[in-house]
Amino acid sequence: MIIKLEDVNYIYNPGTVEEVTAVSDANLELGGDSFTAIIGSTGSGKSTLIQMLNGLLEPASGQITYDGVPIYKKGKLNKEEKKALRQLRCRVGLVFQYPEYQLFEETVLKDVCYGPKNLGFSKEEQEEKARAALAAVGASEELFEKSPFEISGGEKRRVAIAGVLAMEPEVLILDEPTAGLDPLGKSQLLELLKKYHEEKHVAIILVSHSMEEVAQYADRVIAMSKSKIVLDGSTEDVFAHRAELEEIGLGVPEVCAFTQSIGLGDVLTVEEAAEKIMQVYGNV
Amino acid sequence: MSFIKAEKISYSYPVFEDTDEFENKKKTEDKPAVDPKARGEKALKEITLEVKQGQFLCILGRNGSGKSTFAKHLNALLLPTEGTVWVDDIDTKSEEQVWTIRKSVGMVFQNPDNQIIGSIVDEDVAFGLENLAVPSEQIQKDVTSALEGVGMSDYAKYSPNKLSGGQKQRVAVAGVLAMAPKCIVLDESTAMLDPRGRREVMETVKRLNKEMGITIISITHFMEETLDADYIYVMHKGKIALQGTPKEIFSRGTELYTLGLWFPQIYHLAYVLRQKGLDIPEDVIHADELKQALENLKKK
Repeated sequence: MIIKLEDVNYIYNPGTVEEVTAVSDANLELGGDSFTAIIGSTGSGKSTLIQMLNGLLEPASGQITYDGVPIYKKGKLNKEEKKALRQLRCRVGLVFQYPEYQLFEETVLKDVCYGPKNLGFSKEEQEEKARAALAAVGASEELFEKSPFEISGGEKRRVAIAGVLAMEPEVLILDEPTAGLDPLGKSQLLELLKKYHEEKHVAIILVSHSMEEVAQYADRVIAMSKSKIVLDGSTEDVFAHRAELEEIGLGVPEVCAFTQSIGLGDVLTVEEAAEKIMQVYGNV
Repeated sequence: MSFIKAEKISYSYPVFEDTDEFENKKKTEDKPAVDPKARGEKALKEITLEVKQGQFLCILGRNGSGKSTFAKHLNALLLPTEGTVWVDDIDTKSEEQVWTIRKSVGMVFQNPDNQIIGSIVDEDVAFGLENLAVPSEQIQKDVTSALEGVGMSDYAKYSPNKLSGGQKQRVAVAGVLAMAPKCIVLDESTAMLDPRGRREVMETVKRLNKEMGITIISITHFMEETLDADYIYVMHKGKIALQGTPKEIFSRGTELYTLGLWFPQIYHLAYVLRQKGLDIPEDVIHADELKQALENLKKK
């Protein structure tokens, strides 16, 4: 599925002294078969942008479509139209920052059933979808009947993500899903997302502050600064713009800075850096 | 001289007999309460360590390994169930000295939005001093120098909600700094920040450590932030599993994976290069060291 944004703007507190443009003139095509990362410093507009992608925030102007169908309609809508829009927007799942704070049910399984339940699925279907989603995030069977409040931090995070996966979105957006996790928890979660992306062909849109994880997992990177999209391209292309990235408060992965400093150009991962270095120093 | 000393401290979170009691407790007290179903396990098990005045210390470990529980023992937010913690030779259990302890050990937490209370930056920084009934002229001076200390003087009259995450955390550091602490504990204070914010906060605390001799204890999941530490403790399941200088810790190699840690990128690169047969010393963790090691290869 393709999410298309045409001349999208978003303004907080319009018409007041507090007026702030959070997203200006965004033109993008997202989704497809891509693992896309959105990077940008705090306040650059990333979170506003992703909230518009599944209908949580309505653009001040411009249009957002899924495969050509608009996800916002002006004017007063009847019940049927509202329902149709809601269903349409369910094709895109959004996982907020620290999603584990939103766990609320008595058991892990019930919590993950909540989404499919709201979509009107039968009890059997809810459970089936919830079990599949929990399996996808690597949650073992023995967790299912536990209270979401007695499992570990990393497990909570993954259960909360399963809650969105259970709605079977075609595009999955995650806002800093690894924030606060320990290194092992981070890499486990990213590996799960990668696997889900590859096996189910679900497009991933990842908002992240970690240049290292972006370089390792994304195939496309969009950089935002001061409400504008300033860089958009393949991961290699974007990280080749080190000066621009540093100017907007970001940077390149440490290994990339290192290979540049010894005249070996850009790399994205430790493995790539090692290969380049071996080519030069391997036969010394 | 040791500034903080923990001797065989263990801690168990309070357990309540029934759920109602737990729910009530949760509502009325801000002390952490655990679910009665999760009873039993000690959060800290016989931890013994010493922190010297002026040290830059890092604590690493998985989520749930006991890092934050331990940190809360350093300024009497929690008291050990067994064992003793001394801060500047004061037992943290001595109730009448609790404010002396909290003045000398300040804490900065993870979420910048949960620890700023003032509606103007300098008012926020003054909050702690006002609570101690410090004369207002003195407050003015202390706030000014605290904001200078974290490089935020230009923002004294700003509303905190106009600041970036990194700036908010520096304001939080200034609030602690205004109390003239001997030690600042950072409990994952950079976890929610963007790369620039992370750099700003770490550079600020490193400077306070070097220039003012303030002891820094930093709990973090970012391996790169620990490379300049004097000493690292790695916690696992409530115990100290490893301790040493950054070079000692990271040269443990894959043993770190089992403790949920990861290699910092430059060390990782050096490790892979060694495996591929390059002669790179085991203790290379900084970029300039790796650069040097590669140059040495050329000379041979």
